[in-house]
Amino acid sequence: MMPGSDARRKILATTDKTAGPLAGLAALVVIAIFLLSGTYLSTVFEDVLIYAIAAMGLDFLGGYGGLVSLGQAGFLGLGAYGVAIAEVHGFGPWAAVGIAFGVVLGAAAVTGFVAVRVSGITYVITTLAIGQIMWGLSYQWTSMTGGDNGIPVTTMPSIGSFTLSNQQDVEVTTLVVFLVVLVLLMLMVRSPFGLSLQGMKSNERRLRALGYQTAVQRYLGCVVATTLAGLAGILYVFANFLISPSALEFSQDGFLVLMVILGGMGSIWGPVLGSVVIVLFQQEVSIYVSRWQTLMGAVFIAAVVYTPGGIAGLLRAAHRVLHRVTLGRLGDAARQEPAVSPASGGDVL
Amino acid sequence: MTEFIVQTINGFTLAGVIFLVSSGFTLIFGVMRVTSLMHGAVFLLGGYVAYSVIGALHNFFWGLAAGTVAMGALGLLVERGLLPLLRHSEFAELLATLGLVFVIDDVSLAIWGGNPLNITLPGVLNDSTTLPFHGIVYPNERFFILGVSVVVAVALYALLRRTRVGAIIRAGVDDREMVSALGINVRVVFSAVFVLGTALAGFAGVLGVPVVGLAPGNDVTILLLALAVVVIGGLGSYEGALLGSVIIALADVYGTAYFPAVSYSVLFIPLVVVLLVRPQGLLGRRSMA
Amino acid sequence: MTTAPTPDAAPPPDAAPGTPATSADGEPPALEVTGLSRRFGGLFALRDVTLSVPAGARFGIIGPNGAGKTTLFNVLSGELRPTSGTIAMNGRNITRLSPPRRAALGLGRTFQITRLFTDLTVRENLTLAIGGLSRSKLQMLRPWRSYRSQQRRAGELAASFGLGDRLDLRPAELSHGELRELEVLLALAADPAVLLLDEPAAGLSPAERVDIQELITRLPASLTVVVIEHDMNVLREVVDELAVLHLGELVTQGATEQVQRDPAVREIYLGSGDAGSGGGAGGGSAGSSGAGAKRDADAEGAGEQ
Repeated sequence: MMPGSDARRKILATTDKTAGPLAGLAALVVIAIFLLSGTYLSTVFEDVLIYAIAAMGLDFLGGYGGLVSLGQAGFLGLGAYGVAIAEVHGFGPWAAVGIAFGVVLGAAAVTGFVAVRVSGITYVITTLAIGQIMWGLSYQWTSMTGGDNGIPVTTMPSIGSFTLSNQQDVEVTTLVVFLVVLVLLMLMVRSPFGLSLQGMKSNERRLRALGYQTAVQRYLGCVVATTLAGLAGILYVFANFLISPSALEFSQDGFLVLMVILGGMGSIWGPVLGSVVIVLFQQEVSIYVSRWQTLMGAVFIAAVVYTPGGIAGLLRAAHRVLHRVTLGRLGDAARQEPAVSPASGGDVL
Repeated sequence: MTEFIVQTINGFTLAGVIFLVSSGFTLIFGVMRVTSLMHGAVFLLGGYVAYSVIGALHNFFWGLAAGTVAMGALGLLVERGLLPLLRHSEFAELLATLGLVFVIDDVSLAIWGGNPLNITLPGVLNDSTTLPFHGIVYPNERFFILGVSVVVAVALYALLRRTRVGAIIRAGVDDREMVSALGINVRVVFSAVFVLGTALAGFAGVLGVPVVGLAPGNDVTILLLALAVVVIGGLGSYEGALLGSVIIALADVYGTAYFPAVSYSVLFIPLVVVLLVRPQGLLGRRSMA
Repeated sequence: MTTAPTPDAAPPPDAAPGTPATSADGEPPALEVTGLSRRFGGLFALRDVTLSVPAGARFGIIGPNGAGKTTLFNVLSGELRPTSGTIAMNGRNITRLSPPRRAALGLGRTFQITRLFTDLTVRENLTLAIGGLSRSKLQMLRPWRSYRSQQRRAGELAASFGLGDRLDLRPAELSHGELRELEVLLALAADPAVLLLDEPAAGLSPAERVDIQELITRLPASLTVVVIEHDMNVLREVVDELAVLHLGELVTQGATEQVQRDPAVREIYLGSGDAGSGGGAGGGSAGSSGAGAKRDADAEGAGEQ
């Protein structure tokens, strides 16, 4: 290694460290502009952020911990129906939010035991079944849920003049909740707990031999993931004024998984990117391409086959290549890095 | 009482259809460890193909054959074209077949539209029979469906238990390494099993139209029923699929008749319980984690 | 001699002159195994094994393939439950404890097929290993990199094994020998009192074997080390006491030289073509014993479900 290269590497490392947050900040500004633009796009980006919250939760347990849920939309629905049903039963909007959140936490606390018991494909199927139980109830239990028509939500929470019946105020609220969740998750994946989740996905047996009661990792990870889905559902119902069984359908579970896979498992930004892509597909591409679902399915299959790390993985690989080119120019060819080492999501696939 | 008897016969008819789907699903999983989420979509597509062929040739049996063969061919395409790209990752296989669900459903929607379609069985099969007890009038087509399901189930049993191919398939479920150690071409066995599984799903998709209808969304219902069946019966187990089909189908018809508010949800509670308590299923031996 | 020794709580009387099985001052042995059996279906993988490993010992467990070594190891580390018998560590009964509980009591282990966190860097691997017994492991909001003392320790551990400049690489970028070293490092990171090494030299070149032997010799003297091997040559240099397993039963236990001279042991090794003096048996049989271990792991996976 050449003597000067260390210093240069340090400079590169610093730019690396600042590049991520800068790109993130830029993305946020763009999202905020769209969101608050008051145009049609602002409702699109509202949906993007709401689904991103649920998808990030899915990714927290799936991408980092290796337990992928195919029932996440069911818990989104639980949060949304929690608000709607509470309001139907005469509770005020704030009380309804509190009740819905309580129900979501309770459901998360119970679902956590599922994560403790089963892994891998079995976990996927179990969560799929749980999601379908929720959908079935929303569709068939007409007296409680209004059946196929769903429940409109008319009373919105408000503080003073800030009220969620105002479109812009909903958007601000969604953005704030999204940012809080984003920051919390970023802290969590960098924490010892987050590291142990990754260790669990990588090699649970070893982790146990090192003294980790991995049931705790599984349980807490599942509680976080489930709670975020419910939280997204609470926002969903205020953004859409309505909750109906279509939000809990199997295809919605599929879309959430698509967001995570397409965006990149095991990265916090991945699901957000995935959410942007999928929601745009659903709401924008569908205007111009009548067979948008075929296109989306094909893109998804291609992602599974060719880029297990998703968009985030591609960006990381591109960055690494760029990095190597720069380093190479600095005369430090000695350091070997695999051309495209699979991004952390790679091993699940 | 009459109602109950009718529901019970309905249950067994439905069990026959579900068994045809789930036996294919369970074989594919048992031998290849592939969780084929597209199985329900294949079921639906088989029915649609048959609908068009029947429309052109005016013969139900040609439709049945076409749906079966077309889905077998689709299975071959997926098994040879897509699965090899997935590095034997069970999770990637699951996801890729999930992606195919979106594609198949969307293409079907484009071709056959969103309205429910129907297939009428020919001749005497389209009549009804008055049963000798309680004066129950029951459509012949359902007896036909039940009968054919039983015949196929027996044939499948004979294939698995009485032939060399069946012995290889069963050995593959128990110990895949052993099969390749015996010098058997595992690739061919895998393709055969996958094709057999999707062809069964297509066959069931045609045969099942009078029972479950032919409409978008049916694919998810059928996939989930099949999942419930094979999980409860034990993934990879023929007898388990048989037992599971009867349990799930009866639970479905009784539930729909007597507890309509929760019938669908109640189907999946046993599934969750079995997965949590005994992940290898009632009759399964190996865990699937 | 192939009949099992009678279960006996007291240290075996033939437990080697020169190396005390139990120290005279009454300190309990680091590991004491009594009447341990493990059955898979109708087959005994272990039958009535009784062993005593004194504190601070370098203890080898040896036997041809299929002797039950890996099963014994998995029972000792808690991944398999014994069918009968007890295990005590430093006088405390640990028979019913899970692997993480045993780890918390100071039992560390390595795996024969290297089991690292392959998605994570060496630094992250070590951080996980160091944090396993700390209370910080459930901390959710503070970055793991901010735990200075743990990070310092990770650096020191890596440096002590010559992996100091490998901290930011992933296992895929390490050499085979480095992987084996990291495997041992992970087990050492939590400062165990008893370290179980499962065929540490499996699949290594002769040169790398010497490295591993040196590594074992350099381990702190207070640490009790139990090494499993099927190749006597690896062990001869590094252990002072040996136990021989054959077909799931304990054949003998004693000082290394004494056991090597034992005619029953010679017969097992010569009879099975895996001569104690010949090094040639290494490569091929290491592979097949790996397969055996895999099957053990499968059986245990099913058991856990």
